[in-house]
Amino acid sequence: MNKKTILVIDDDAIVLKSCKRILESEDYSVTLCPSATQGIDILKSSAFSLIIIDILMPCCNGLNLSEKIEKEYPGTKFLIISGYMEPKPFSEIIIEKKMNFLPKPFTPDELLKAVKFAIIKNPESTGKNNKTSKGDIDE
Amino acid sequence: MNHNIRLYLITSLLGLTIMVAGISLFFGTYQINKAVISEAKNRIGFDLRTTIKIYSNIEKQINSSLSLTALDQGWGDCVNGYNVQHIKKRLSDLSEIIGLDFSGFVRNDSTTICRQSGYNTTSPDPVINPVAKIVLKKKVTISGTFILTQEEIRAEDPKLADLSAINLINSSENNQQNIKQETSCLTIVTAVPVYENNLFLGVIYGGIILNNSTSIVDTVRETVFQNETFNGQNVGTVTIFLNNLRVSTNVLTKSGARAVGTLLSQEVEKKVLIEGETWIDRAFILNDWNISAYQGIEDYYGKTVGILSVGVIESKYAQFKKDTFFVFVVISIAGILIAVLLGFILSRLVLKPVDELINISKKVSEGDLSPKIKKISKGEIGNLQSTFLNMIDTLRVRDLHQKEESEKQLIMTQKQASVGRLAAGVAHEINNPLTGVLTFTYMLLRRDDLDEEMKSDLETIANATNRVKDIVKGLLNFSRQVKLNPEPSDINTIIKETIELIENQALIKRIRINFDADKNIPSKILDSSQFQSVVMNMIINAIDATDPGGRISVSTRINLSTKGTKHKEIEIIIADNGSGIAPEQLDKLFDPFFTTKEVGKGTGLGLAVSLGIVEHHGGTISVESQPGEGSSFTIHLPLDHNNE
Ligand SMILES: Nc1ncnc2c1ncn2[C@@H]1O[C@H](COP(=O)(O)OP(=O)(O)O)[C@@H](O)[C@H]1O
Ligand SMILES: [Mg+2]
Repeated sequence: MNKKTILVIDDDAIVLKSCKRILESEDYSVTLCPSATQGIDILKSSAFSLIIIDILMPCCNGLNLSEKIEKEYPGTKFLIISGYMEPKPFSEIIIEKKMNFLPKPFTPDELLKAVKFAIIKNPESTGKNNKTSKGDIDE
Repeated sequence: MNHNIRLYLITSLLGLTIMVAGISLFFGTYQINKAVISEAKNRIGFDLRTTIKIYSNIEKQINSSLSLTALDQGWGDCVNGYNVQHIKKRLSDLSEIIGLDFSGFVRNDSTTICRQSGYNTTSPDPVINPVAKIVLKKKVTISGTFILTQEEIRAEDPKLADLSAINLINSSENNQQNIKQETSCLTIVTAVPVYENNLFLGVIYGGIILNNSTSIVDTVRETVFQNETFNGQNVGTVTIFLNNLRVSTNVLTKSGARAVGTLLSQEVEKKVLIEGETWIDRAFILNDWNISAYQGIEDYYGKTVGILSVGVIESKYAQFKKDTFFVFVVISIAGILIAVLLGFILSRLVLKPVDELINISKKVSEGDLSPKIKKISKGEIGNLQSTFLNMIDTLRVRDLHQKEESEKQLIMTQKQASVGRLAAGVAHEINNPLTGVLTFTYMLLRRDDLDEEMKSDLETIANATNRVKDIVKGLLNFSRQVKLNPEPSDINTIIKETIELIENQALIKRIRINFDADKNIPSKILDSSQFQSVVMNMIINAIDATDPGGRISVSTRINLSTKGTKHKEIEIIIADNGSGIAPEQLDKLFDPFFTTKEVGKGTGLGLAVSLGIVEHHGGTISVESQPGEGSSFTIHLPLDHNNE
């Protein structure tokens, strides 16, 4: 079985480091990226089973980024993470598009569970997919 | 609006007075007309009777004067000795006293031996006066009205015959008649037999001619009407008719001459001359409307030969009527003016408080509750005023209440907003490092080579960090940035599940939880996990406040809304018999961070967040508590619209 590859885009190093630590413990191949522009560059050369994106980053917001990537590489799977749901429309977009979402802070178990779910889920998850889990948003 | 009322009042008063004035004017003038006419008729009837009296007095006067003269001594000498001069002297004395037109003495041998005029009496004249002729035969006094022919007058005095002839004046009424001159003569004549020593000597006679005479009619007018004038015209007129011909009158023609020779109207002629009635009514005489009265004159033989008539010009009464009408009109106008004035004053009086009320209610509707009504009127307006005052007072109280409420609300919102901002900032700053702490603590805990002490230390770190996580999450919830996830839910089931989750914890503390579910509660659209956290927090609060052995009862029911509307609502009541809440703390329960629990046990966010969630669902939370006896929290949720 091939190793699943995961790209984590977050501007906070401690989050990147935590994700790497958790995911590698479960044998995922993890690539870390501190900014959106770098993330797009990386995607030009390699594909990923899942991209984890933080919403609030200095350069841009993660939702827009995920949309951009989705357009260029349809079928890409995402897990959106955020410690903060302001401004308001974000939470609504997430619910409306039934995106995979995990609030920060999370424990290793919570992250692993969310990642597994996001990868299994139907590839068009960023689109109008109807399979979702309630737990994605609340807890 | 009140201008309309004023107009209304004035116009109705005006209408009323105009109506009353109109009616009284109409009936008043009608009545007065009637009264004036009948009064005029009464008067003219009375005047006619007076005239008749005067007429018969004249006749009586002639009669008694002649009778007295007949009783004088010395008639035998005069007659036998042909002392005509002596007789003539007596006759002219007599004539002078009573104004006879003619008189004479007829001797018992049927000859006239003396005439007043001296005409044809140089020797005994066989032409005898017709009245004297009767007395010659009957030998009793005869007196009365007679019609004498021109010949008979001429026998007395040719001059008299010319004077008493009357030229007829043409008028439309007599054009079928061809008579140009009336020659018969209306006269009053008395003839008395003269005796001396029971010896019949002859007859003394005398009379007056009414044709063309002015004395009787003018005397009567002077006596009856006192020569009253109106507009330069004599008010009253007196006329003597021979049959239907005016033979003596002071009615004037247009040219100002006496209207002798004119005829009576056929209507009156028929009534008075033929039917013998007295006639009193309006009549048009020559030029003017008159109120006139007519009565026939009977001659000695009982035949109606003429008419006595008096008249009053109607314009005199017309003027009186005009005056009366004018007075009525003036009174009516005055009444109308008074009504308008009264209406104005009345409406001012009535409407002043109403105006005031209108002004005040305008102010009130603009939100100004300060105005006071100065004077309380009596009656209905007063009631209105005091009701209005009460209303304003109530509004004032409510306004104050609302102000307090909204101030409270404002403070609360501000508090929440600032806490929300703070929470958001804190969340942003803390969540990332917390992720690191949690990650590495748990990763460490996964290792197998940890000794018990290290493991327990790490677990302490993990627990503490989880507490930080909870606090941050609570703050975030409080700032309501977490979206509701509403779906149709069965409230009873949610509560039952919540109780099951918490029951063990309660049992450890020997506290029993009862649940009394109302089966009729319909499903409601709400975020079940958030709602569960609300119920959970309340039950935990109750457990915390209750001593071992206590009990908590949870119940649901449908009740009328506390908002006073007729809507129904769902109530979830969580009651305990624990410590209760001090009254001064009741206000603070829902403030964020208000807690009486020891550090680490309570965050003080539970009820604050719960209230936020319940309000988000359109509901409220109410609390009742008796310190030392227990507390009761009630969640009020509105029914969904399709269930109302
Ligand atoms: N059932 C109750 N009986 C007595 N006090 C209560 C009850 N429920 C709440 N309180 C009081 O209200 C405070 C605030 O409660 P809450 O907002 O839930 O915060 P916390 O539970 O974290 O203290 C509690 O600390 C307690 O003093
Ligand atoms: Mg609590």
